[in-house]
Amino acid sequence: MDELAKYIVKRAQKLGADDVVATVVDNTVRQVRFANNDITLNTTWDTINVEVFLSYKKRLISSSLNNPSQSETFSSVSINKNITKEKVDQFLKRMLKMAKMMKPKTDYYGIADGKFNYGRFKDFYDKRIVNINEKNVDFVKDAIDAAVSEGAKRCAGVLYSSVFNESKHTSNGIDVKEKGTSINISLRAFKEKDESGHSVSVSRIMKGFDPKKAGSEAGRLAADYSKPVQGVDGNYDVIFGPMIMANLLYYMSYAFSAFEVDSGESFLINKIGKKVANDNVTLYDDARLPNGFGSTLFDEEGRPTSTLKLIDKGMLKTYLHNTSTAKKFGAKPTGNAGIVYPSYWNLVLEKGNSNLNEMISEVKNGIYITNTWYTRFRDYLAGDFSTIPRDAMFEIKNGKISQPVKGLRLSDNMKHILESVHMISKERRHIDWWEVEKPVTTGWVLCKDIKLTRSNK
Amino acid sequence: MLGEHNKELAKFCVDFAIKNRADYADARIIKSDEESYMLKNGTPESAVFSESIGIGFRVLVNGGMSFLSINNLHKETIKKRILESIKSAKVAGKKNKNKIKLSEEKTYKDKWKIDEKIKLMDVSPEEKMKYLIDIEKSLSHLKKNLISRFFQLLSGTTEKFYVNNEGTEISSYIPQIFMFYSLIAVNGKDSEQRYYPVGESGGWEIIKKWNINDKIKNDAEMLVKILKEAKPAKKEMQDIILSPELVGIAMHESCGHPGEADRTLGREAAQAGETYVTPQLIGTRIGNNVVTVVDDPTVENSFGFYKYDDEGVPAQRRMLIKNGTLNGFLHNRETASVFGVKSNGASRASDYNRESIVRMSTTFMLPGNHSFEELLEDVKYGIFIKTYNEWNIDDKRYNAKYTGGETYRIENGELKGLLRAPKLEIQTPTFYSSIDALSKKVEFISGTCGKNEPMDGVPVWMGGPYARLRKIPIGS
Repeated sequence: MDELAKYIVKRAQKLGADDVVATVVDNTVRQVRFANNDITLNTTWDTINVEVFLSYKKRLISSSLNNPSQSETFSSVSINKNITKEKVDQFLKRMLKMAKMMKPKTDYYGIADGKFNYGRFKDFYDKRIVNINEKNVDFVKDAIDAAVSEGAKRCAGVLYSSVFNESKHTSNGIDVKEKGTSINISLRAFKEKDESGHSVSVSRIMKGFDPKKAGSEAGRLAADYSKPVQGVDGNYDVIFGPMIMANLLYYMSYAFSAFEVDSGESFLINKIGKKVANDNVTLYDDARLPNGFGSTLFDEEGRPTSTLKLIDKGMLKTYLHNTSTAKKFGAKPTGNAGIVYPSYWNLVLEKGNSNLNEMISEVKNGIYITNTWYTRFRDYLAGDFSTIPRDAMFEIKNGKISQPVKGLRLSDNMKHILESVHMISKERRHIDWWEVEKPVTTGWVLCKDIKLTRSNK
Repeated sequence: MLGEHNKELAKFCVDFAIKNRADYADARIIKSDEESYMLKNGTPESAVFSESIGIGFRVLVNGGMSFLSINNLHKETIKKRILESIKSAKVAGKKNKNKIKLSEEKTYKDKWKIDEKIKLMDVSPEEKMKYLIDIEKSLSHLKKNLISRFFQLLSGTTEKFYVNNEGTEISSYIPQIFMFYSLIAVNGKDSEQRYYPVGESGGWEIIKKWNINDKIKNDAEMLVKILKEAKPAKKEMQDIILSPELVGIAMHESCGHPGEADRTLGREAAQAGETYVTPQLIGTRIGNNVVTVVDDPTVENSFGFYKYDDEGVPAQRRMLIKNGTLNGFLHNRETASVFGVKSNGASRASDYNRESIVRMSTTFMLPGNHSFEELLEDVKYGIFIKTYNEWNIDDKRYNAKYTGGETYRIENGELKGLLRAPKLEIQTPTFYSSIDALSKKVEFISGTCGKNEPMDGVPVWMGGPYARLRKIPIGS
């Protein structure tokens, strides 16, 4: 793999490319899907991906070669057994041919350059996950049993285990490698009609992976969410559980990307150094988070990642940058390439000092929402959005849960959500699932005066 | 091109699995070639192209199912993975109370392709970029207000060979072209956005009939006009007319998705959710007599066109709502077996690396017999929503929201001034029961439908006629 990445860079340079980044990833992902307490599908993905970025006089091309040969080998360049030298040459020639016909991106300023010390982070690889295949079904069974023991009648969800090896080589002499594992489960438990709860367990190593806890939490939520009634629309103090808070943070994260700021589509344009959230909000992108699902030593250009403060006590500190956007903005690169689109690795909301029960006791007229889906923006620049809660949701009256409710929609604004944060819990969860496609660490969050709407009959 | 050796490899996978005691096996070997060009505020972003080839392989053993996605096409590696898949399926089958079965279907041997008069991959990057640059130039008079302009053009070809152990062998070739644009206009601190996708199956000749420059220019000018002229929509009960764009998204979200049989069986419960439509509800009235909704993969040049689905079952029109009554589900072979029916050919996957499950193709409401003007003239006080910005629906497909973009006040049968961001939050049966008249002409919009895990976006069309709904509460 390493030899293949090096060969690509050398060959592309010889063909006339200026900047080149070659990334080769070999990964095996296993999945167990389940529904109605039965296993609906076992899947294995066995994939080799070759990703190449190159520039030619500021003309940029990104490509993936997912097209290994059936019979020949890459033996002339030694290591990779699937991809022929001829195929790589043909691929690179096509890239250069395309590049030469493109218009230049005049605001492109290059890729990472320098000798870097990458340091390390903890808990990113567990060899027990490499050959875990058959145990995955047992983990699923454990999670389902835990949900059923809490009162759930049927469960659906998915378990993944994966292992990857990545090699990256660039025309600026960067030569880095990384390997990693992960295991995670997402389980939705149902009791009767409309009565459901959802939880996840997300980890890079076996320690920290707790399918029983995920099953138990989802099952308990489903059992507690008994016979929900139609909620009343209005403005409420709302407690967001970790699943929905992760969704909101994930969906608002576009606004931190320099790509979106540059596009004119972010609600954080011209806000560096200004208040964008309540004083109690501190938000990181922590690429070095131990056991973080998105933790990585280097970004797409091979620049070292870091723990990066995005919002410090309510104040916006930086956007997410690659080398080129940083130069354009007169800022420091943040190790968040995406060569085209900078984005976060692990979004982390700083913990507070409260807990769910304290939050509930604070609320006179409110709603506790545990999960959501289908978050969409009416106006990216303004931050106007709506999302529709699913699973357990409860009305709170005078400091106590009064009844389960359903049929409400959160129709608000992302700037307002950040400004209205009143309390954050000490306990946090690391979330990644179908509706939160990059990992977020967050606790329970109480926000004031949030707009909830409902459908008309 | 997919070579004979590729097809032989797919057949080998199936034969090898059956020899190793699989009850059923099928394989899809797929070669894809894609290009993408982006223009952001007049500056080209990185162009993208990708080439891929791989096998998606499925096996059923003792009521358990496994799927293998592999792009390492060495026989020995594949054999090892197939044996693992058989073992995994067996383990699942033993644990499952309900054994997975597939409906019995006829077998076919066929080849089909979509015409591509001007081959997409023969069109130079220069010409493709020029297409976007010309759009940018046409908006130069609006640059003061139009602060965000993003255009992306994607084109690709897919060659596929499907084989199963029952004797079905289908070869296909599908060229597709897709474009979307995103615009944001500002007026002081106020802003308004527009996002619109266009996609079709066919060659480069398709793009010429889109007339996209005029459409984008009109949309951009309308954003500026909305910011300057539109009055806030009031919260009140009124009649509404929805354009085919609005009817289309509603058909996709509140008829197509809830009509997917795997949802009612709970198979997507932890991802895209379930549905309010239970098997017992089939035959129940949900809407006015004028409402008939179909899903049809055979609409010529549609973005989700196919002749056979990804289980080798012939494509066919499916009636989901017939004259206001829930009529049936979309099925693949797995769900059809549970219902004791034949598959109606709705099994799709975007590529070799995704499981083929129940998906829509072109979902649309059949037309009525009015002109748009006739719909309009019978409205004393109401609104006409032509475009939308934001939408969502709960995971049972019962509570939907559509926020209007270009929207007009209707007074005494005439379009009056522009209204700003009316919010239609409505329950599905109310939506279908409130429709009293439809226009004669059907129009389609394009989309990428999200479902499955990992997420699998498949190309679709959705559409319908102009629809008039009576006495609907509109929010502000």
